Amino acid sequence: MKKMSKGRLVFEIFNYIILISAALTCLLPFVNLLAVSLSNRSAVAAGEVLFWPVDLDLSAYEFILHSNRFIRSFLISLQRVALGVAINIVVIILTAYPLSKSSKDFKSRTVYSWFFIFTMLFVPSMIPSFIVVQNLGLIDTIWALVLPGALPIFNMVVMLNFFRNLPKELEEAALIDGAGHWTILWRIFVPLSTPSIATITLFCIVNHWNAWFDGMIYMNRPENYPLQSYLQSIVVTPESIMQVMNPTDEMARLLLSLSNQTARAAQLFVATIPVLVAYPFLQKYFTTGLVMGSVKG
Amino acid sequence: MNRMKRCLAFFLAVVLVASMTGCVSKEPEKSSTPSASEGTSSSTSTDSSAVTEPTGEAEIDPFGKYDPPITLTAVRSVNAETSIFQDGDDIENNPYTRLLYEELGITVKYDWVVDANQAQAKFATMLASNALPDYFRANSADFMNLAQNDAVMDITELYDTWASDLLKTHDSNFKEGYDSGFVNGKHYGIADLGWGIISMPNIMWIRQDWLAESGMEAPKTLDEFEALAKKFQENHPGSVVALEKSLLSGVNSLTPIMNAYGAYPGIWVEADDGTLVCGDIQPEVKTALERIQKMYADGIFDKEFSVKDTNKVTEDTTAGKVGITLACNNIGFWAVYDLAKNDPDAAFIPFDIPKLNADDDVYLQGGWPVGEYIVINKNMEHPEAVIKMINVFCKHFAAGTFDEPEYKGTSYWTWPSATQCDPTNEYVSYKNISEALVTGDDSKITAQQRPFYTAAKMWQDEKDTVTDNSAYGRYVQMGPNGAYSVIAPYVDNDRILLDRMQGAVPPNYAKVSETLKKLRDDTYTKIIMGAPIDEFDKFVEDWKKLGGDDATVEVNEWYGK
Amino acid sequence: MNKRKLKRNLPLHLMLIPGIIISLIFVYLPLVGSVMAFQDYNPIKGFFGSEWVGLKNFEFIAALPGTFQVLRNTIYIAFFKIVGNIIVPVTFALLLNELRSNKSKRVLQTFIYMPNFLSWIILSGIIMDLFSPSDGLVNNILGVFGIEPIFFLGDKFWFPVTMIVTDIWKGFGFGTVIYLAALTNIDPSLYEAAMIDGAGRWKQTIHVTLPGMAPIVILMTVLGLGNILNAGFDQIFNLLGPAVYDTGDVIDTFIYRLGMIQAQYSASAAVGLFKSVVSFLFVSLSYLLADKLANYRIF
Repeated sequence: MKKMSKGRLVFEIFNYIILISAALTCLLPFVNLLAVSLSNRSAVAAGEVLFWPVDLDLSAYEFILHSNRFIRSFLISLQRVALGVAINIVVIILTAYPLSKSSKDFKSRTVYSWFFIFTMLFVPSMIPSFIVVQNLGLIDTIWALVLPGALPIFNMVVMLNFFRNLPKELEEAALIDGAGHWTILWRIFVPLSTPSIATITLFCIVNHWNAWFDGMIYMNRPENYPLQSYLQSIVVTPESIMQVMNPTDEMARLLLSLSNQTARAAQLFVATIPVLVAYPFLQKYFTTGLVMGSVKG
Repeated sequence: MNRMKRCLAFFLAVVLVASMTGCVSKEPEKSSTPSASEGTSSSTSTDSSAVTEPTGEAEIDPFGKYDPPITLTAVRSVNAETSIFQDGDDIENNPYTRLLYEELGITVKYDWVVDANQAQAKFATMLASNALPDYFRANSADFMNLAQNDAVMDITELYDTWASDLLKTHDSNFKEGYDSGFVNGKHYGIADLGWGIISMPNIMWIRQDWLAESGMEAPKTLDEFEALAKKFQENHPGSVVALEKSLLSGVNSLTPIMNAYGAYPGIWVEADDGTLVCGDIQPEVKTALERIQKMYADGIFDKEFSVKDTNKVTEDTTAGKVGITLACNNIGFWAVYDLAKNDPDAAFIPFDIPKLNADDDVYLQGGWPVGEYIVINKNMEHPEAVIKMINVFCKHFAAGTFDEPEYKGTSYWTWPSATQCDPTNEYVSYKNISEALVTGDDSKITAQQRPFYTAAKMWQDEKDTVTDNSAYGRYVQMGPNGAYSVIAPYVDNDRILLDRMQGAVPPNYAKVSETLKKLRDDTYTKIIMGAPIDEFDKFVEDWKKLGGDDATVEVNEWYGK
Repeated sequence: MNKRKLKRNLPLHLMLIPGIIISLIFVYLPLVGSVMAFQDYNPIKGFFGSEWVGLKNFEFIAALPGTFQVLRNTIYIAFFKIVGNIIVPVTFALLLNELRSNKSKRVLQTFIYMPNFLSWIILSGIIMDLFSPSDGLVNNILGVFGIEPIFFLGDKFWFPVTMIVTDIWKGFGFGTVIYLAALTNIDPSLYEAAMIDGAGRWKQTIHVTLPGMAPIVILMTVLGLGNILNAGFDQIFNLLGPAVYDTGDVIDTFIYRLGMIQAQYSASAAVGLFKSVVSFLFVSLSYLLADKLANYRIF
């Protein structure tokens, strides 16, 4: 390798500085969050905590351990992810496969395509959606969280484009051997699509884990809230609880003492863990899957 | 088979999605075990008068027990972290629900229970999809809408028949409030009378030690008020007069200053010609806002008030960043409690509001104490059960039952929400307790007032060693120099202004009222933070155009009746 | 032949059934409910019983002060988000591409796309603390440089800026990964040819790298157009306060407040319908452009 020119060296140094500061802006807020969650409450209130805990204090995590609501919501979210992602993947694959055929091979494709494009463009408003979910009897069940979004169109398109880029010869050969579409899909397409499936799995996990609005609208009990809906209720504090419900005096005080920054930080931090744990496992497929799916080769 | 039914239901929904919302009042419970009353409630008669009729004269017992027991459905907004119950209890099973079950044979099941800050959305979807429970509390606007559309039960007869004497006494103690439950001559909702007029106005609270340190008197005028605030800032840099973002409610942290100017935003007041006008748009508000804007620019108020909710303000107060707060009578129990507990000298104490001139005779703004109405589903099988629950609550509240040890640590607002309090209770309690604290003669103290008295006396006698958490709060509320002692003269002289619209929002106004309120809050906030004061004139114009003028006509038509 | 083909394609139709049912129930059916935009919807009377009022709801919205402000805010925030979400990741992809060490490349990538996977709920909690004027980290750092504390979430100018910047911050790592992948797909022989022609690193970037990325950049730009009315509900809803409605209130939060807080069901549906129609036009336009410029067909 040639010796670096001076200009090159300067560039490299600056480049590293820029990239490392960018990485730090992404990392430090979470370090700060962790430090706050591990610090003493008064140190936090006094603004002394930066990136290292001040007066190490684990009471926020004790609070989590004893908070039935946090743990319940956490488990509900896990359940939602498991069920929701499984349904997503099956529906996505089943929808993407036929639509990946050319209109020559599959005449009705155009009609179907438009049917699905339309759903991407027109988003129904809240109240009618609620009424439909309610009339189906799904309110307050996990199905209200997984069925309405069972077919994420964007992910389906990623899948579709990936299918489309698979070598045509494979399918033709299989057809000549007398294989039907079901066989081709499960025996040939799906095994070849691991990167893409891993990618959309990651997306679906993230989607389900992060969703909060549906939980807030469709669940009837705080005990049934998924985690993010619960977090929303503690992060965005009520306009004024006092006015809403004439609390007795003692209760109001308790309420105020419980809503503290360290407990909040600890809950937020714990809530980030699953996603952070999930993505390294899927990461290796991630780029191939996405790029091949989004760009027509 | 069940799935088959579900499918069928769905296809019906496809065809009838629209009309269904009009007639299916309730989805049967899905997963949980269906209770007896739920199974039958949908098939009962829709005619309310038929329900009370067959019971006959002899059987009418306002405290009668149901045998077999019945189950009612309701909804509930809570704050989950504070819904703390003793071991094994929960919101549907606690000392009070057990009492209801034992005395009345009534079980209350909740269709939904959600956090207070998410309840509004939940409530909107509930109303929008017309899935009403057996009974619930509706706010004024929703109540009006429901009543106008005859969507809830007319309880005129039902109430007369089943309400206990005590409940009727409570209601007659605040006739205006009770009457606001009537729409078009029919009694549609039992108004929640709240804690009475004395509990409504905001007054001035000052930190005792800071006041002593400043060597100044408690301010009587707004000029002195500013001077004191500035003095506090000299002694304690960074300190402010507390102000909250929520300017929404009828009474808020700005109200006392507004009142000093004869401005009453948030309520409808009677003008000189006897017609009703909306306080939000009166010229006095503009003058007051100009003053507040100046105070804000001078740094007297918290620069960040527009994002501070009650919690934040409380944190600031506890952290020693607040010297003066314009707040309600009960902050001694919570907002300023921590300070007093740690150091009784750092306690906040209440004063009369600062006026323009020291001898001004001002009115205090009381808003409207009735925020909610208990309404009953038309299709309910045992509508009288709701009234019986209120009867039982009144009885036990007066008897002091809820101060028994088994109720310790529970809170009545997590109980089934069919409750009513005596609206004169606070006033009478204050009179008795403050008198007894001065004279030491506690013979007038009733069973229900006893715990209040004990707590307040504890603070009076031994403030450095108190064990009762409510001692300070009760003392600065009901004690001889407490918040009520500041407000009581206003009550006696009839100088507390109630909202003349009395919560009974006329239908067209109901549609735009929230929008107009938002417009108001935005404008006020902007002006305080430095927008040109002329924004106010523009707001008045917009307000009128957007339905405010129509509302004024409508309100006056109603008022004229 | 035709019959055989039909029989062979039958599974294709069957496979689509789940997707179609889901879409019919959860998209098409509720869309029928949007007719309430033309009604004075009263839940007690239901969809058929409510009074038809024609365009009255649209007139009401047009008369509300602030409606156009909301539209303006939405476009302002969405536009800069779209632009920023292309320029920033492309830049970072180029910078990362210059690194020789694959290991530091991977480590840096991993860090910068972490925020992308977190919900706006969590990020809102973090942002509220970070940007607080009294004790927030950001203002503390600015303070070191002698800058007065800035009230990012309560100031009319800074609120939308904060929304744009934090959104780009959340998404740029993810975009970077995509563009970087596109970069690695560029035919290495092109670089060799350039090198033989005596082109330096800089020239190579201009003449080989950028043209190589052009298709995907154009594609992402054009697809972004469809989002011109999506300023980001999750983010703004959780950070918005009345003090900054002037510049921070966007269509989605407006719809929410109208429908869920002010119980103006019909007016809310009308705004929603308006948004859908405008978005539809933009999306159609963007697909048309994508087809023309990048030769890309989404379906």
